[in-house]
Amino acid sequence: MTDNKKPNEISDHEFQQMFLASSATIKTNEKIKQEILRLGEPEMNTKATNNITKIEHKNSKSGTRKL
Amino acid sequence: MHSETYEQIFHQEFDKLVHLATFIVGSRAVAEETVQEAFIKLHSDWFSVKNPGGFLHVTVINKCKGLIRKRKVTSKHLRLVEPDFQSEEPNDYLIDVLQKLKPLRRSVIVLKFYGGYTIHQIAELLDIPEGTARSNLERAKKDLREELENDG
Repeated sequence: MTDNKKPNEISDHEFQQMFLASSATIKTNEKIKQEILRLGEPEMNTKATNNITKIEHKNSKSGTRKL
Repeated sequence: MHSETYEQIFHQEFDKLVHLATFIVGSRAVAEETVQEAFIKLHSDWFSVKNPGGFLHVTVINKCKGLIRKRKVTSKHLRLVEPDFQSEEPNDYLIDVLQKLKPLRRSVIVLKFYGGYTIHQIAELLDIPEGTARSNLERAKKDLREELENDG
């Protein structure tokens, strides 16, 4: 985007810097973060591992895509 | 299969999404709740979501739009005059000043200067024409400059 600013006007870069500085003042809640992290990571990893195992098994049986 | 784990996506996106939503809705607590709901949705749709980061951003922005719309309807019927959301704690000056802007202008300027989105992406996210996004960005910049000058 063009930034045709007049003298003494806030430039786009200055707007970005203002938002960045302000965002640093927003402190997030650790308790909520832990709750979200605990949401289901082990379950997702197990499902993902199972899926990968199934694909590998299928490939080895069919003889295709062997590396 | 995603190249990143849920945990990696969480660490990359959580703070940024809370900041983005706080700028738009004016309350960190409401923003955190919104982002938490988005992560719950991501968790339940994990295997069907192709781009988890994009999914989270779209979900959070849609939820913010919904909150603003709901608040607008409530204000209209109850004739409320207070800001969109009552913050539970003192906000940074910029967050308070942003709440004086019209919701669409506020969303556009936040997505542009904090979210780093292009006008094309902002138009898609907010489901508005590109020209509307562009004109609202210019108006938002003008409004924000005026508010900062008046208060400064």
